[in-house]
Amino acid sequence: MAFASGASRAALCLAFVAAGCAPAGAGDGSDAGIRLSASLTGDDVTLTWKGHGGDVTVEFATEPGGPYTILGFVPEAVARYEHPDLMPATTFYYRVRPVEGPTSDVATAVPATDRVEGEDWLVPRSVPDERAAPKPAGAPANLLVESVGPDARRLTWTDNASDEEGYLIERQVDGTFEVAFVVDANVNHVGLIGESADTYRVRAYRFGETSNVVSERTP
Amino acid sequence: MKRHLLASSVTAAVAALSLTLAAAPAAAAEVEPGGWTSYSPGFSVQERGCGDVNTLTFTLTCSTASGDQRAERRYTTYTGGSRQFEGYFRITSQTGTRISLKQTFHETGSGPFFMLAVERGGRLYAVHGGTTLATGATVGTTVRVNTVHDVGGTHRTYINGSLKHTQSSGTGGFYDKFGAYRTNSGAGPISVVWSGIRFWRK
Repeated sequence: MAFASGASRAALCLAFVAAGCAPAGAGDGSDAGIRLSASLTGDDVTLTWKGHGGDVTVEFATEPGGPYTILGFVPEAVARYEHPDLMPATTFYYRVRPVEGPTSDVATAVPATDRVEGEDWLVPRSVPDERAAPKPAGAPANLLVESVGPDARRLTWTDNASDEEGYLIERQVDGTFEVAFVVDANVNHVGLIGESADTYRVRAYRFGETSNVVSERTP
Repeated sequence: MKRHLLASSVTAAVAALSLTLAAAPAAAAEVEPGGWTSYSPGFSVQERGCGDVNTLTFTLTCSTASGDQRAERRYTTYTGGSRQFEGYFRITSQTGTRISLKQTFHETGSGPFFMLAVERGGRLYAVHGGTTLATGATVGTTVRVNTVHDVGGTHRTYINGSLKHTQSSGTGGFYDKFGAYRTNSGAGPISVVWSGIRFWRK
């Protein structure tokens, strides 16, 4: 068991109770899954974790039962998150969840062949696609990134997944991909404007097994 | 480092966004504990211009860059003590920019006292002064907002649990507003869903 440094066992126990006291290996971080640790310095919390090599979401709450708010998507190989300047005299609860699911091929922007007017093209939506063959963990395909104006991109793809939580729109910056946008399940058309890039991929994501919950109380 | 997350100083090459896909918040304890009492102030719904309010979904349906475009809840005025607001917003569509999401309004003073607004692309900023509070409040993101206001003292804003803005406060009458409101330099459309609204006082 990887206890959070600085967090009391009582607090952790409370967190586990609130989380339903999942059995070992089923999200409690004991023998399998992600083992999350926390440390408090001043009013900053630093989180680190082991046992998972992929991307995760880092989430916090101020009640042991939540609601949890995602602080960020943290890519593989970082395994660290700093939550700074926290509310005083407050107990913060943390967990991480693996972000799983297949990605599309990488696509680079090409000029749009049609004339795009108005702003409706920016709205995420699901459009009919005869190429779709939905199945569990089906990878998105046929990603097309079109440049529709300065710093404006339209992304379309084939939704081949039947079990996704949604889609992550990931843009490539300095050689790595970062999450730019999150859309609901079944969406296969989005528009981006501002802070856009030329190279993207999309991921049909699902959450994996949740880590143990750790807590820290700020001074 | 690629891009800082909301309210974070993520080390190394942490990916871009603070995104919340969590279920609708149900309850949470007040921040800065110490003598707070939960309460439910009254409110009125304000729909002006192309503003539309459907329970806790606030929409500006037009791209009009002038006039009063407003879809908000306006809560009752308070004149002293301390007040605390908590809420979660999720932008469900945004083709416009520079939309105020939360205000603390100085009714007996200069009017808009604190305005939390969002630009297309996800930057959260204080309208007066332009200070960036966080980035990453893009479509699909849920963001937690706490404001603590000591009338005659300070007004503090927490984004996802982190203190992001502090300003001194005068005395007099104030009230809370949230929803979607076109700032002087902004325009819709936008649709934002608020949830988990809580108030405390002491």
